[in-house]
Amino acid sequence: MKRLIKNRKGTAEVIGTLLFIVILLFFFTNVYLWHDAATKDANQLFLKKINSTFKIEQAAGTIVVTANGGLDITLSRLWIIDNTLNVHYYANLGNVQVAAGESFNITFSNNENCYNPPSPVNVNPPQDGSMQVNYYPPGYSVTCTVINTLGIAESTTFQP
Amino acid sequence: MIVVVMIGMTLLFAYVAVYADNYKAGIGSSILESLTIEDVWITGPQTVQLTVYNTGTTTNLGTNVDLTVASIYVNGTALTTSSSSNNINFNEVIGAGDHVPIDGYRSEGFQSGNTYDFKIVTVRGSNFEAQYTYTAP
Repeated sequence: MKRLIKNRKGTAEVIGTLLFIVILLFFFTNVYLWHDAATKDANQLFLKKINSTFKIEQAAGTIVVTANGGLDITLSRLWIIDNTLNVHYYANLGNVQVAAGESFNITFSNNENCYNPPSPVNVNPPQDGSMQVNYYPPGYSVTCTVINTLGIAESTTFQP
Repeated sequence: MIVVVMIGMTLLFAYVAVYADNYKAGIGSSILESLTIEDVWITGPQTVQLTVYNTGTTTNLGTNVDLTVASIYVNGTALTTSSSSNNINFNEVIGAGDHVPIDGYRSEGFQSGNTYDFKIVTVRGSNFEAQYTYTAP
């Protein structure tokens, strides 16, 4: 036993093997734990998307956005698609929050000068659950699409 | 010999640490990429503008995940970056939270009434799809 302990032959190989195992363990635990956390984050986003549904509908001259899921939603952008002119306009909605179960109104301008506005279309700051987009709807149907910050889009046909 | 082994293992450890970081920042992050094709606008007989929205933000994921659009396919055929080029590599960087328009060209053109399947492929290998039915003005 004493002879075995005093024998220094092969010490480097033993140390090298131990360090190699440590490096392998470092690599796999590092990558595995990170991948586990990343998968959890991706699944959380998926769950948020499932619970952040909303619907949009026209009520007279207003687009009504209703958060009908379990979570609040944040509105990112409104697209107005005019297939007659083949023009797509957008308005940034300034990440306005709509609480779960609540509605938010998007109204359009009465000013005829806003018939063919520059994109992005100007919007007035939100007030009392409503926001005006400076777009004058034409005398024919256009498609309105609202996108939230999770990338969920809902569309409706806006009738004159 | 022990010194040689220690130096060698230190270098190996440094390489493995850098490799792990590159993996996490690169292809490993493909599961975190989140992109929405928010608008498809056929602007001409053979041209299309896709507006994409990178939803991989700190609010949604806990970290910002930028991505790079490598190529775009329409019904399985790659769009080119312009009519005068055969380049299908868009190499368009989309920052987290950004809405970015991307113009593409399809030599076969677009026919009114047809439904087209748009697929965006990122450099990390993620795919994002949207279908669009074209109605000519």
